[in-house]
Amino acid sequence: MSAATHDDSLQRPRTVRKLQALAEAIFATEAGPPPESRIRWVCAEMDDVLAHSGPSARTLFRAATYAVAAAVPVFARRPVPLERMSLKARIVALDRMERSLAAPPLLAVKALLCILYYEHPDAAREVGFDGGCLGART
Amino acid sequence: MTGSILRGADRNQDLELDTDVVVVGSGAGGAVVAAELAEAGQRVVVLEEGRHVPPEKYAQYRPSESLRHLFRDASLSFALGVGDTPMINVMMGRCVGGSSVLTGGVCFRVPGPVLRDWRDRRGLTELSPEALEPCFEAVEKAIHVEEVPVAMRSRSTALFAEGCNRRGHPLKPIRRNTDGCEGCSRCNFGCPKGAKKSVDLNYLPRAVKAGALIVSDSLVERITTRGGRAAGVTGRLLNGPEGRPRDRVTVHARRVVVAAGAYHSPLLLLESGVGKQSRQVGRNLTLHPGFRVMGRFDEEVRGWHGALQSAFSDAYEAQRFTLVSLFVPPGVFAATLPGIGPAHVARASQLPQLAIFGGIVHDEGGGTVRRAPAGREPFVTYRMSKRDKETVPRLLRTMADLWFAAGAQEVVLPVLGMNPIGPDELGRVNLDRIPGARLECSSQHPLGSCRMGTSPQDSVVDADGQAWDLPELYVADGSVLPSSLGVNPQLTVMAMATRIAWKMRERPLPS
Ligand SMILES: Cc1cc2nc3c(=O)[nH]c(=O)nc-3n(C[C@H](O)[C@H](O)[C@H](O)COP(=O)(O)OP(=O)(O)OC[C@H]3O[C@@H](n4cnc5c(N)ncnc54)[C@H](O)[C@@H]3O)c2cc1C
Repeated sequence: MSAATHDDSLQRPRTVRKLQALAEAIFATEAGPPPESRIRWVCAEMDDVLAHSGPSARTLFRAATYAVAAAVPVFARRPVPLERMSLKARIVALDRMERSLAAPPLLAVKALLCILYYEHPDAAREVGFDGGCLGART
Repeated sequence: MTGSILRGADRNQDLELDTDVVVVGSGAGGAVVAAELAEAGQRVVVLEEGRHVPPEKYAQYRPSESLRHLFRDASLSFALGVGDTPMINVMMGRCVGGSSVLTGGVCFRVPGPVLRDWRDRRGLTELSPEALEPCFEAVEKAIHVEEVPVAMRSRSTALFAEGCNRRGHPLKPIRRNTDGCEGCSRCNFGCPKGAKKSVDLNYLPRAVKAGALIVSDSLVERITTRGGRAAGVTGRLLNGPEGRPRDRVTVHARRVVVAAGAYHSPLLLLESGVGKQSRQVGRNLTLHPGFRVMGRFDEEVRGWHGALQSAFSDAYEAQRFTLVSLFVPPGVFAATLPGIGPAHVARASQLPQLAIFGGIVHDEGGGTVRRAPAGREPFVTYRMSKRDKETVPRLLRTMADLWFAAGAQEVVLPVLGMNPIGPDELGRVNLDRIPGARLECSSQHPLGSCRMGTSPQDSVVDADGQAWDLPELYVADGSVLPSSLGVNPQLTVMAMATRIAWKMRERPLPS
């Protein structure tokens, strides 16, 4: 399953790293983060979605990603950047953030990541989804 | 004479056309006007900003691919909440067929009390039930409106019905514009079977058959005038790299119809300097703010098997909200489930046991569409009225209560970061004190931003849809509705567009 790429990209390497760090935390199980290839696929798909949105939506999304990344060390109570923080610390910080008044930017990022993540056939299967025409297609 | 669909993106030079009527936007309103006028023998050109995606192509899309290719801004448009109002995700179509391609197919006529309010409070005596009856009839026939049989209800909707029965308010069947629906719950991303009769399958082909030209990828930027009346439009073909505007499109017309939807019709009028007289352009936007509540059951629900929308309850209209059955893809479910990491994944794994329905507020308005300092999209704010704010906790409490009445183990409220609640906890949750910023709210029904009325002091167009400020400029889409409806609007938008088109047919075109 290949994801599209676009010239008009949000994929500045810094942004991609932040999104990857967030996706790993959001979709982690007790066994650890989901397969790296799946996270890469989600980020590439995200790039394509944003390339199809207007500049203001793109800017808003990028701002939300950076706002979440900046807030994570605050909620983790550790001065470590998101990308270098342990998976466990990221999960704790994001969980605290989701319960706070600072939740809206996190919701924006989580919503788009979820929409894409559960379109991946393996992720859909893992949550018991078998709705042919609504879901994943390779 | 047969018209055609021209892909603006495939052209590599300016486009200049001369016609009787130019229609801006090919959605629910624009498509109806185009067909009605073309069939009356008028030369019609439709300019649509979005691309043309044939049904056999969108049938193959994953939901997120539809977001990319059929929705405006990949569905990331918002109304900024002001004064403890939630940020509202407002979804709209941007393709040939507009939002019509993305509906759940739900069809309601304008409710009687709303029509009476338009007559009594707004003086719109022309919009009587008798006057609108033939318009509704014509549309219902054209788009094949039929009742959804109980047998097509998903298990999610059956449980919703059970809760309503136990509370003494049985659900009513919804009517939809479908023919041959097999019930796979993905209407909102373009029907995969061609069973949903969106305007790209009826009105637009009719318009083309009668000689209309539809130009996709064609962004109208300005209405032009001559001798104090509307005389055409100018804009850009979206034929540059990555679909950016490049070559010019100019249409000289004897009449201009704006049907760009409630976000973009006022924007186009403002950018063209129309509406200075009334200062009402862009005001009075209503949204039907919507909330979804999930129930988790012990049994397997697998709510994606069945019709996406099949039943509703108007039992709470006095409390200013309507409840409707619906379904969403797994990713949207998951997005609204609280939790990060293992907690999130554990909840997402309960997807087959989750049921869902929605509630919309019959809102008073409070939205404003303005030009943004930069970019193509408008800057939209929405301030919920006091009454609407008081409605929200009542709505959420009712929805949760219905799930518990149906036997749900837990209910997930649309409150960011709030854990699911059990039956004993509902009484203890203080929903009145939840700040707007923590509510998850969406809208698919922007309306009223160029509203119809009896005087330029409080409206943008007259009862026939003609702009007070500029002769031969008509508006014929959701933006002209004088108020919100409390029910899904496409049928009313189309019936009003029919009426406006018929009125236009009665008036000779200016020479
Ligand atoms: C996801 C979703 C689900 C819905 N479900 C239902 C439902 O089940 N039942 C129901 O009754 N209603 C539903 N609706 C609402 C319904 O679709 C709208 O009320 C109706 O389509 C509004 O018609 P319109 O003509 O005002 O705008 P639209 O149908 O949105 O059409 C406007 C068109 O104008 C184009 N445009 C805008 N600006 C320009 C410009 N400057 N130049 C050229 N073109 C332009 C746009 O790209 C768009 O295609 C739903 C809407 C959505 C988004």
